[in-house]
Amino acid sequence: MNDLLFETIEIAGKAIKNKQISPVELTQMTLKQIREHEPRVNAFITVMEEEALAEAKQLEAELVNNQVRGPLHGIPIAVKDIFQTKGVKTTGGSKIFDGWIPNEDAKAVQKLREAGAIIIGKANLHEFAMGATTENPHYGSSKNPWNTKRIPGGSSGGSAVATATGMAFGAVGSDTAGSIRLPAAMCGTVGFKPTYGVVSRRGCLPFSWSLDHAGPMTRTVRDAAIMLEVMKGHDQKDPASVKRHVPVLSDSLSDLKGVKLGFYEPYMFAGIDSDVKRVIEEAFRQLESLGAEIVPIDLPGIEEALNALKAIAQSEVVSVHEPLLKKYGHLYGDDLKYRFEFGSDISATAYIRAQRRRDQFVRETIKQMQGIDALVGPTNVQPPFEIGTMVPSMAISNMFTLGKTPLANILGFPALSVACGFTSENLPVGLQLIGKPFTDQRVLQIGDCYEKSVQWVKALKDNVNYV
Amino acid sequence: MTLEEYLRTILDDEEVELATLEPAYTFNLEDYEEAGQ
Repeated sequence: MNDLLFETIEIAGKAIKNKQISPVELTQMTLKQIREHEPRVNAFITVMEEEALAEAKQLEAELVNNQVRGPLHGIPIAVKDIFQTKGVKTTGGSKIFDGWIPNEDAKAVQKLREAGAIIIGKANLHEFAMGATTENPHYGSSKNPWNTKRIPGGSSGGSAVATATGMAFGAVGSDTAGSIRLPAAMCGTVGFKPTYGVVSRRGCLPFSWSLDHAGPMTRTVRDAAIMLEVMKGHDQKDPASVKRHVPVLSDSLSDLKGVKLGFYEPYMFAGIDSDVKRVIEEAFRQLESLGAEIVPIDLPGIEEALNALKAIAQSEVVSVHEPLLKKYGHLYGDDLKYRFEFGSDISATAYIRAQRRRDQFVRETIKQMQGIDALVGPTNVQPPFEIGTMVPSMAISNMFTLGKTPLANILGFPALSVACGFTSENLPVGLQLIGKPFTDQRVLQIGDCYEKSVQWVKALKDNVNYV
Repeated sequence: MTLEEYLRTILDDEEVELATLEPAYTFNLEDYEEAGQ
């Protein structure tokens, strides 16, 4: 029965609807898994045992009356502790917010509950989501389930770890430069950053308004689509929220015939570890064997655009934290202090220039992607390094040296990371697909077809490195 | 409590209003004509 903890949301959901297992039983099993494995991986800041069981009982009662809230009815889901949860403390991974108990849920959390999700706990993260390692000086480091001496990636590291170890069926993450996709790749799971504005960030402590995204983290691509279908939608209280209908769920593709993927080698393979490269090249061959065509593409202005991202993120984050820094600067970790020092030096004109660069790059990239379904490349270009080896000056560069994720944030385009194999040291590697704006469904379809042909997801259940 | 109420417990009042406002500029891909094509 414990195998059910590693099943998909779709299968667990059917088991609940068919009354093969009750929401209370599934929640109890998940809590038992957390009790057994959490001490070794530190995925959570708060485990919501009491609240989750109460919710499970309510959902069970509804089921007895044949009421099904939605596709997540009775499914335990983790939430990165940067999203508000009603009645449960929301720390943002910081001691400054250790005393905050919000009076309402973040919009994405609210939508998940309306679809029947049981919030099982608040997942650990890099302090204020500002880093790629999830080495949190206040709540401890989350550990990679494939090698607990290594980082799980970040900033949504706890969310990825919880999903990889059967302590949740999925999680909510946030992504400003790769914080959903990088930990998903490093833990052997799936992370999806939707098109900018598709999922409301209301109730998510901001990092950088014009780069922040919220999205699902799961074990399979299909599960990411199921969660996104629930989480998406216009929210007038998020100024970035888009009004258009964005399709997500669709039938699975049987092959990738007619799919064209653009590959920009000078960026995607720059700084890549040779072992990771071997895994990615194998994934490319698999995509081609499914019928996809991988063609070279140019991305003019990419270097300037990535520098623009750094300027935008650093300016906006300093602006967010300025009032807190004056009084509580001593409560920030050393790497964040380094970030704020860097961000404070960016002038207003440099910030505006960076936003103009971004606009120019988005227009140019849309042109370059005519006739292309998605860009393809690695998510992480390095395997996860050992916990405790990061120095503060690596805080900003980490996201750029560990992965190829920031590109999709400066563009705002939808981006998926799907597990594509392991290095010789048995550390996971993620394949990344970046689609055109609002083609979230197409990206998920391609990723789903690839994933089903390789089935790396099965390795999660057999992984015993954290036991 | 709301974020604003929490911030009032740890910051001076005049700081709080600014701290909780999102600036007008965000980024909207709906503005790009070719988007989604």
